[in-house]
Amino acid sequence: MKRYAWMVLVLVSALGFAPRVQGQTVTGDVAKVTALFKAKDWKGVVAAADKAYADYGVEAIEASMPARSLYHHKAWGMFFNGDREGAVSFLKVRADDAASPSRLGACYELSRMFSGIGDKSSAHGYAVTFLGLWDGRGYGTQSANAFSYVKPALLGKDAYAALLESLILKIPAIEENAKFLGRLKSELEKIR
Amino acid sequence: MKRFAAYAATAAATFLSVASAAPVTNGAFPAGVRDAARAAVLTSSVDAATAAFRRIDWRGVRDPKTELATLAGELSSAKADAALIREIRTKLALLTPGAAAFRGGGLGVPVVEAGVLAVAVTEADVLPVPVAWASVLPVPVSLADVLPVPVRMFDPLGFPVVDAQVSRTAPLRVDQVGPVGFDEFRDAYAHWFRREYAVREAYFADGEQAVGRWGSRVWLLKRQLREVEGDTEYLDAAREYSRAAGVAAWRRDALKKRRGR
Repeated sequence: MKRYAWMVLVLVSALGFAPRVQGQTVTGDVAKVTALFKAKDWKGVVAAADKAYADYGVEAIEASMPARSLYHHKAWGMFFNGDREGAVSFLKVRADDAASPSRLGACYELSRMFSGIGDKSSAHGYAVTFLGLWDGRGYGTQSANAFSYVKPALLGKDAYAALLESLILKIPAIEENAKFLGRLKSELEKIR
Repeated sequence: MKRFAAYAATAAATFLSVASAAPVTNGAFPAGVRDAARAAVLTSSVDAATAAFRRIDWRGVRDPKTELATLAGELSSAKADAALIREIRTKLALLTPGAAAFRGGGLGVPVVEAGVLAVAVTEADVLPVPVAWASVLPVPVSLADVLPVPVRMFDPLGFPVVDAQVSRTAPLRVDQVGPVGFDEFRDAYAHWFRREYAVREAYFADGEQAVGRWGSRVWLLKRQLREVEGDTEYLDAAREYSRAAGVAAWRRDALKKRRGR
């Protein structure tokens, strides 16, 4: 009897959870948007994201979701759909709001977006904001990308040195960060 | 225990105050940062100490290098966790122009230890060719009969084979009689090992063959053998099945015997 217990469990959980996964919860709806994003259906992404925001509220979604989620998909959906200004202003609302849980990610996405558009100084500005807000943990790829948008000439020597020092101080000096830390150190050596 | 609890409470309280007070611009160090780090390091858990160090807010600290050096000195005199001290020293080296942060340089940052920035390898870390790899060494003919030739240490089912001949020509230490070398042997052996010999069927005490019942683990393992394609994987799967079947048969026998009592 014991050996059939797992079958019963699977059956019951399938019956219980299937309707939720299919889009009757925040997670399900965000998963739907993610699927549309992967399929590069930009119009569909924007529409589904708008619907999710309308159904559940912006705060409820963004406070509960991980770093790359609905706002990311909606912004890039708008961007690839041709609405660049809309995408930028959508992200700016989050990047300029100190209380927004998506602020850090929005700064990063804005720096990427501006870099894609060709506005290097705006990309630089948001990258510096991102690196300032970042606490040194997680965001491995993002921090390295953001750092490459930083323009030392726009910051000035002292501010650039201060930025490098602050990054070195807050990133844990462990093996997995050795590459990025080495890059920071060599930048520091260059300007001294 | 009480002492540690007191330290932990102090650390928590000080961190709260540090977090709310940052950034501080006019002091050399935000109030309590060093105390907090010291208190946190004195708690019993190494992880907690490291986490506490990483949580320090350095914004507004006028001379972080001096603070780091002082902290490292205090921690090493208190015999704190070596990995944490190394992390602090690495940070110090990263901030010091000309100091080699990743190369065990002037600051005495050791390179190849567990949990260290092991990026560069120094001469001392380059080991000579291990003596155990005797097959790659030039072997004088006069010594050929006492040097280890490739030794078969395991049978196809993974059980060690150490006979008198082998132990005379290549004395094995106890710690070598383990899974060492089994993978290489298995990979080489799996190609010519015939599949039907890989499975060792289990038998009950009464001589009847032990067959896994439908849905049981033994049944599943036997069934999975059908889908295995690679020789090595087949050998592994066959070993797992053989052991599971053997254990199950032994267990049933033992239970029967016990009930019979």
